[in-house]
Amino acid sequence: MIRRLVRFAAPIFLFAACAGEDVTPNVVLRLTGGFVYAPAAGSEAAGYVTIDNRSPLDDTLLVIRSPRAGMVHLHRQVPEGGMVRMVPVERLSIPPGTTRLEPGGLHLMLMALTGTLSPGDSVDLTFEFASDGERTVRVPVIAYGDVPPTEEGIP
Amino acid sequence: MPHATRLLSALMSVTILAGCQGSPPPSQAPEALRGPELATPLPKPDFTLLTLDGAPFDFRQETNGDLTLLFFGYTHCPDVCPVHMANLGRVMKQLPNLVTERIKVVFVTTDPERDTPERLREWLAGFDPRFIALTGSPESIRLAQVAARVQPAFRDTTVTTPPGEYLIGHAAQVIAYAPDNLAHSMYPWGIRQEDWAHDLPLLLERWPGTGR
Repeated sequence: MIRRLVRFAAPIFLFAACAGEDVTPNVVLRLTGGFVYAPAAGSEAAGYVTIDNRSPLDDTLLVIRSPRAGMVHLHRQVPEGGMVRMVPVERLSIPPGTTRLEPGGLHLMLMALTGTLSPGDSVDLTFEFASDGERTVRVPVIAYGDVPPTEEGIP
Repeated sequence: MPHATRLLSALMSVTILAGCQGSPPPSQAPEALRGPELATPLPKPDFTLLTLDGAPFDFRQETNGDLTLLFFGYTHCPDVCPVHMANLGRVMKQLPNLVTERIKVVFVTTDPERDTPERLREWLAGFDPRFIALTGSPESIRLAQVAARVQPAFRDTTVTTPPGEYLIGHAAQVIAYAPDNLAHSMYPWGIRQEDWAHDLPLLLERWPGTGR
């Protein structure tokens, strides 16, 4: 029930966050399916979003901010012979098509959280792109083990 | 779909039986695991680490005869470690007690410096209070991974991070030792709750061991 609610609620949040930006004439990036995991032990939280680039040109993700975190880093997990290695990503190229941040791959790390994040909360994430400017989305906080709002990936 | 498969296999065995009247019943192929089955089962590793209370934990002895799920990870891990643990926690809550009382989930930290007993306790309790966390010296933890035949986790010095922070490379699979004290399958990243719910009872059934 809660899962269904979260799934149902997510597009509304996203719509609400995007609605104010539709006045920008050249919006070509669409951010959907975002969520943040409630931290299992306090200090930092992993977050995800799917970025659709509907233009024929590359864009670059420069910075991510959130009022709930002192800083937001971007990491990529690289599988290497049965292991996973993490690599910090300074700037993320956003080619035409879909770029997914998802568990086991690219993730945001919200560090120095300003307070607790619990399942059912929502978090604003602001993405700054080189060409397309700033985009803010409000994403739900879910528990590890919950089905992400994208209905894809783990579990 | 699983229903259809099961139905089909049931029908097939009926057909086979019908065709083999008078001969001894054929031995049925065991139901397949969802996790990748190992061609050569792995023995249970022999190592002793520390519980969060500081008591020695002889892995082989303490988990003898139990279906034992062993995972090496760390609490600052963004998703692979907590998703594995959370999925197991959810499935443990769904399965009947008769099954879960024969299962031990053991999480060994590969980051003993940052993973204090307090932090480990808080982190793991959120998934399932029955899960066991182990820690120890970096060297004893490294040797435990070698004994379990997984690549030891390492502090990644090839990447630059802000002062005081570091990233860790680590094995991403859960090793499942059946009650016969052998690992017949390793569960990689990507395994789902429904796969665990399918395989855990099956691991108990297919390799029941000789009891504790």
